[in-house]
Amino acid sequence: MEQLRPNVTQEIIKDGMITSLKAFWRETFAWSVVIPTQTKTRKIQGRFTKLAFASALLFPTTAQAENPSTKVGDFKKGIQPILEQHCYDCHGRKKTKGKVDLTTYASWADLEKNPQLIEKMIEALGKNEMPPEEEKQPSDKQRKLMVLELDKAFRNAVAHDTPVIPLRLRRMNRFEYSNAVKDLFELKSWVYSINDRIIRNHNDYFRPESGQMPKVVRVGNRIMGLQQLLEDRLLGVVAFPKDPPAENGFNNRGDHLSLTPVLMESFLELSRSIVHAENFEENCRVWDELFEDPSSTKLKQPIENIAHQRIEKFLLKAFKSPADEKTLKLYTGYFDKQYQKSSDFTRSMKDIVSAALASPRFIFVHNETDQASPNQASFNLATRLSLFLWSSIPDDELLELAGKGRLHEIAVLNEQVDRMLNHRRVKNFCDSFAPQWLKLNNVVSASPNFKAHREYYFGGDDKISYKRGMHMMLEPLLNFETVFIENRPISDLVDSDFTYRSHLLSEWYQGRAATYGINVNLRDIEFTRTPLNDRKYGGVITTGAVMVMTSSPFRSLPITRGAWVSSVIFNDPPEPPPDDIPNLKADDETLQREGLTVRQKLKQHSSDTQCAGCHKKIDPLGFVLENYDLLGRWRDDYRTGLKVDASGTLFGKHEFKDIVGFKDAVLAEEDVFAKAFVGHLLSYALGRELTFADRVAIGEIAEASKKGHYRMRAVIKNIAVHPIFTQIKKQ
Amino acid sequence: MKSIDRRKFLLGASGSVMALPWLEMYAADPRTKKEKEPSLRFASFYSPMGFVRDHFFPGEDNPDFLSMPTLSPLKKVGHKVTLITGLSRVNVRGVDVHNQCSSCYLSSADPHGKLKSPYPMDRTLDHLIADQVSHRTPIRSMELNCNSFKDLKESIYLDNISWYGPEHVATAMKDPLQVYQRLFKTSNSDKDITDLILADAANFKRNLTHDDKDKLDEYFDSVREIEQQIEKLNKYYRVHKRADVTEPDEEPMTRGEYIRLMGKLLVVAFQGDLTHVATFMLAPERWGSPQLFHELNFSKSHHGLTHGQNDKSVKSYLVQVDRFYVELFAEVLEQMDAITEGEGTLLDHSMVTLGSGLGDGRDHTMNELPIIVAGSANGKLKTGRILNCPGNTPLANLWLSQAQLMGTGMTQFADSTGPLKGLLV
Repeated sequence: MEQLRPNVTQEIIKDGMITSLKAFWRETFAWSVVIPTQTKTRKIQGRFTKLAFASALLFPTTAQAENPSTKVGDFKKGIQPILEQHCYDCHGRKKTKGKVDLTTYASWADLEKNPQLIEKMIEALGKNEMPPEEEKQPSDKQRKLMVLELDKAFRNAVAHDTPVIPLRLRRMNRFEYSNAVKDLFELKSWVYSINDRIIRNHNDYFRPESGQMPKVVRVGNRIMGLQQLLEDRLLGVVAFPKDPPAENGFNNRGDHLSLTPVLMESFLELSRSIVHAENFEENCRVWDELFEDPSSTKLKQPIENIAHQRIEKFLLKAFKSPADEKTLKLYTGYFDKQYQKSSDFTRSMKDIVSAALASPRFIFVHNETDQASPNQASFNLATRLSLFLWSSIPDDELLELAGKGRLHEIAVLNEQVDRMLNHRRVKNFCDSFAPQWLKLNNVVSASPNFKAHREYYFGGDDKISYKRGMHMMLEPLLNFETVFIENRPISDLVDSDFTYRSHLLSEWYQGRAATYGINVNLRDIEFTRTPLNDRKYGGVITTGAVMVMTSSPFRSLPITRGAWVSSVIFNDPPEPPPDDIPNLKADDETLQREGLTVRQKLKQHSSDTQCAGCHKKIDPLGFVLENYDLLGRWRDDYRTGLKVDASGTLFGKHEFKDIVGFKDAVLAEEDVFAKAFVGHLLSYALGRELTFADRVAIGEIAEASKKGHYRMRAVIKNIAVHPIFTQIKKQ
Repeated sequence: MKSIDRRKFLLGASGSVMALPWLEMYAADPRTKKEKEPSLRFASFYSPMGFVRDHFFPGEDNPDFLSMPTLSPLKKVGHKVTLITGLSRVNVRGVDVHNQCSSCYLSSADPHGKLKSPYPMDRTLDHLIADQVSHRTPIRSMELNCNSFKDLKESIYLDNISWYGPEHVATAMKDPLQVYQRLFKTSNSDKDITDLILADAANFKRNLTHDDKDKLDEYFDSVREIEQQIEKLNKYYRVHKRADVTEPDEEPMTRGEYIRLMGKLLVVAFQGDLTHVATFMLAPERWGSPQLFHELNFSKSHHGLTHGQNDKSVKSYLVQVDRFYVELFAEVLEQMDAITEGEGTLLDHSMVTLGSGLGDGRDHTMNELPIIVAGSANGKLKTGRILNCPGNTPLANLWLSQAQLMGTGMTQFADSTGPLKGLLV
């Protein structure tokens, strides 16, 4: 059994009780030293249905199941000679580059004390960043061995730590708050009009349950003028300011979402203005069962009893878990007081609801301890699931299952995640995750020079005109939603044979910059599914939106593009640049005079040893996009007449000539892309920054999703059922 | 009684008679018959990414800093201004510089200390001061920010200089209407509701983990502060008239109009003793987007300009931006200096700093920070001159001096080596 390293994946749940799988195996199959393979698991299904089902569903193909060994080879015979030959000179013996001295680690035990270093080594070796190009390289076999061994060592190293990091109390962000209020009162309208959502959905196209994205969608972009903001909403309700995103992260990060007097004032104001909005009643679908005075019909019980029952039901939903007796008394007692004073049922109920909206139990996303209520862990899980997949509070079904403690049953959990992924509310996930992942807000401020690039602007005159970027922003978002709805492999985000384009965009890509008058419909734009047979386009990377937002007003910015690809596609944001970056004079005029391409010019700059390390990594990722000009249109040559050179190498092993070759290279490194994508998603799901220790979970989630080429919903689901998310702790 | 004269001015054109001043601190001491010292106001203005050095610093032998192109807008109040040179901060290497410029500026926390956040952050100077002086005013402190970017894409660190502590931002007000309402709106707190939610919160707290309990304190602190503020503002407006300021509307404003309006609201708040502590960001640190400077007739990325300033034409834009912000700062000072309070002016009874977290925007250096202190802090600061400090004097020394002048009784501030030498009269 020693081979079965204690690991988060080995805990499962039996009738709500947390059991260690390791203990379970030991007890049940004392004779067994074999690893539970798929077949084994199936074999025992008859006897231990729930447990077997659990492990089969949860971790069908985890690394643990297929490659559970973490037994490393002999350090001195295996890895050390390779380190000796290829690494020690620069890292310890002659120099200590990057402050890394490898000679101080004489055994696995030594190295396992420093998992951060192991992780760095795996990354550097795996992506062929080390040894540097100009040095003698280890053989492929040696390199593979190192990565494998180091990976095992890493797993051993973090096993000593506790990989389940508790999720912290955090405030809901603005987007979540508005969804929560909308779902709490089942509003027909929006709470307030906010720009957190980019896509305005005008033909109810988003139907995850259908598994099919319609051929034609009618959408708007919230940026396009005030008319996009004229939505049905509660009158007189004012949103609090938008929460900024974390660096290379999302705006649901707990460490950034604090509460301050200025914000609390907004929450207090909102708690009143929502229920007192003059159109609240007509928009509130739960009006009759919550606010309506029941005394119009013949009452079978005292009116207070009815009120108390209503309050209990309401608080369960608002607080995401049942209110304990003390809390309940606070609210019902307050109702009684108000009702006695005013004899106005509706008013008194509004007072209660208003107070509840200002309670921390509503404003915060919380994980209360087991003492709070029976099955509290299930309620906590319900909240995490709904925040992750719906950016909102749990619905009745989740709460009911949580109340019975059943949400922790693996089969039920699976069923619920599937249900949630098919629910219309999952649009909130797409609305929130996709633009943040792609950093799409940068398109808003991208300003190609008005005089030099008048064609980027359309409609109206020099004073009132619209940017084509506003159409462009929608393309990658609709592609993301298609991959989600149709449960396609996430590689479609890199390379797809379809896209969604408006007429204006199609013409744009074909080099026909039609001008439109001011009367062009800005609110409700038709985007049509367009088959692509030219792999220059397809996927999110090569969309106009990405090209425009990674350009200056005058030219494309290859380094910015490279940094974007590195951060977004490979989840590997470059280190901040050094303090004294030389000014790169790469404007058209200078280049023309010097007869250089941007690439040649940059080469002079990045051969500077101080800069070389980073630039070697990010430059090829940017140069490969040089065939797209600052406005996202294809070009073979620069305006100076010089030819674009888009060639390069990915991770030191995949050579490519152009973007098509690059896409092939990324697809060849599908696992790397998948892990990067899982990392983004996991950080979003947990609402926290990931640490090196999360590497294990990322690996397991990716591995579990590999079958069927990382289908979008499988990836999301494997996060939602993974212990790092479910927080099922070791005993 | 001179203090009443002062109040009359406050009323502006309407000039109605006012009841006794709400704050007793201006009243003469009944025993000594001497007027108490006017209470000191503290404001810290922040301009991002430094200033073009050769347009800002006059050079060692030239005492005439008001002749420098960027500083010349200060001429009218020049005799009440001190230019301080030689102040520095140390940054943590390997993490983003601009994020540190703004988020660590007013705490200047030890970069080598134990970090609770990616950057060396701590409770900032304004809040340490407010802890001591907020009992004097209805509003504890005001955090103002003139970030008018539509794309909220950059991090929280770039957009805030005022922090309650590591990772606990003091949310700034960007909307003039919100500031207006904060200053002039009174409401009645519903004691019953407040009691209810606080009781609920206390219940809630019992079942949280240790760390989460700390986090929930943000809730208690916020609710209590709002309660206090409502109570104090109500009390205040029972005896004071509202200042003569028009309620801001939705009309679009130019960059200058926007900052000017926020500045005016700050002056009114100080004048009426509504608060004595404020921070004011003229613009956020490194925002990677172009910005329209209506008054200057161009749209440029301020950050981009700082890195391109070796180029003459780029530099010419940049110095215009620098001067633009100093002009707006100077306008605030002039307004304060036009308000008579007893024997001096509001500016005399204030300490208003303008500074930046970068010495040079070109190469991100954090030494030789551009710092101007205006107002004599009730005659305690020697003004109308340059104070040349030895190179690499910690910025924290100035913050320590200011904390002491504001009555905090502090003897150490972050990595300070002592109060700033030569600052006082």
